[in-house]
Amino acid sequence: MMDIPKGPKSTLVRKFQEEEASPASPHEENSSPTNNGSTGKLTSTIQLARPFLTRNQIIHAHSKNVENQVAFDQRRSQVFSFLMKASSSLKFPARVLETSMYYYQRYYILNRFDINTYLDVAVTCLFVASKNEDTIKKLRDILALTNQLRSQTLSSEQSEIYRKKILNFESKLLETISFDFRNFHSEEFLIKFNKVLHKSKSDSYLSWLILFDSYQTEISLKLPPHVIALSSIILASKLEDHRASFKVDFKKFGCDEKLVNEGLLDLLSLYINSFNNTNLSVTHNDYEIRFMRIKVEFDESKPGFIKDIESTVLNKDEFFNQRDFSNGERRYMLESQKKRLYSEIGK
Amino acid sequence: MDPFEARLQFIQLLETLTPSTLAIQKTISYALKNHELHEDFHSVILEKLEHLDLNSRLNILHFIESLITVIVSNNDQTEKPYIKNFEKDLLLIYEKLIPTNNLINLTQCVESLKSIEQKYNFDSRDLFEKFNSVDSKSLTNESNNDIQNLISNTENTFEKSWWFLILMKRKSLQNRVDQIQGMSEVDENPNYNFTKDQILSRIESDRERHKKFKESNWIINRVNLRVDREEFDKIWDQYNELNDDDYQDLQELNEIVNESYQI
Repeated sequence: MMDIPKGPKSTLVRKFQEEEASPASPHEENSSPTNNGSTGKLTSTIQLARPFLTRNQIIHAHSKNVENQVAFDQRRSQVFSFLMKASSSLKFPARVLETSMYYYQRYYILNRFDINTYLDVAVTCLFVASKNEDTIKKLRDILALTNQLRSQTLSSEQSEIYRKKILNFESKLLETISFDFRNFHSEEFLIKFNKVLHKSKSDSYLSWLILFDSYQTEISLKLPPHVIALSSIILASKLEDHRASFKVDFKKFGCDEKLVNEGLLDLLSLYINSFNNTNLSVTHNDYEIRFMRIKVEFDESKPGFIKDIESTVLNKDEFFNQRDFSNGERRYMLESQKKRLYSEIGK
Repeated sequence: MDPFEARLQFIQLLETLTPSTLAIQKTISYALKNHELHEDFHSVILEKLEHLDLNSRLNILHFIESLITVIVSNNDQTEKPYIKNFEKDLLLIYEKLIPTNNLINLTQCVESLKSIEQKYNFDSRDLFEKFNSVDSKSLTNESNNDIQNLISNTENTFEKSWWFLILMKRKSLQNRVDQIQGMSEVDENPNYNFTKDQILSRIESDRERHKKFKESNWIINRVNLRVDREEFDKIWDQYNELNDDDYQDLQELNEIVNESYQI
């Protein structure tokens, strides 16, 4: 029996009373036991990581957290070029930059977009990405550089306060990603797939450039790394040879065709709408005209996409609810740990 | 300070050298402060390489590497001390690091040679590949004498050193093959058996060195803020085709996606 509490207290998860707890069905992922003892209401919430979301789940999340989508998108490209400058100066490899771009977008799935702090969030993302990618830089070094890039001069006292502020953002970011530190690298799959397909090194280089550009879009929020890699490879071969097919042996690469189509769609709209902001425009400037043709051909192939989730289901999904950290305890889990949770509830 | 005193202090520094950045920095600044004595100090280094144990010799090698880095990156000095002498005696230094039949320092020497030759703007990619390709099957292709001749006939000090490292790797492999086939006894040269303390300190130092290595092994230098071919080449060499573990990863990823979308 489910008991959804009313009132202002909104937690991320459904709650039900312990004595009535029954093993949750597969659709009740966000369940949590509630300690309804005599001491009052201590709520315990379970927060799942859910690292990938569908297109309309993202729109749904933004509708809650972003007031002005146009301004948000503008700031996002500003932040990405800022991150690119910072990570080049700090000599980080591409994967650190990519992870930080993912974190930045991830942050605004569950947190309200604030025009005053988005660059601080960006700095935090770079810092956390450098830790998770094992390319450690001290926060002081990162801040010294990013402050310079932002022409922000701080006294030593102010710097210290600012550093603490970033550390606060860090813990917020970590909670937002549910302490999910699994990082699969799309470039790893890209190289491996290219080698399986016996692609030449220069063809593979083109697909790698596309992959790098793809992080400017929401693709990393949506799709798992191997799908992004395969989409980039398909687009690269299409650019080099117009007879190439959109279809490959998807099973061989463990990819769902619909997801690959989603990836292709995102990549094509990136290159059609903002070719000049991409890395590819520097090295392959003459390719711009090819994208329109590929897009037409892609639409003609009648690609299948993942189905939109109905808004009633979305509205019920408590994952997207505003968080309330004021009371109770929170437990962060990866999806695969759910089974353990169910067995605990069963007792 | 009179040269004799300076020499004694320098010896003291070398003998107590550890892999920590602090200790190495201290020795470097001492060496640079007294750079007019660099001929003297060079002979001290060679002498110490002869007498200290293998762990300390490795510390000295890392000191040499860092010292070269500092001097080369310092542009305003017209006269660069130490640099010429190190180049001249590089082979000698490596011979001290890797005595016959003890290869404990070999991997570190390869890394350091790669980094040192860069400072002298020398590129030996093919020799490095040659080093990597040495295995028990390729032993019969060339004889050790050929390589020995190469070492004595080559002019370039870096090529000499590479051939020496190749030779050492071959010799050790040869030795191992012979032991497996029962053709030779296990050589127990008491000079190179480590005491327990030495082994422990080696573990500690290796850990420290690895930590330091990880601080910089990922560095990518980009021109114009753009990703380039060089960065790609590095990643390209990092991975092979899909293997069984990868297929398992792919399957797990797909499960994560399904759980994550919740559709």
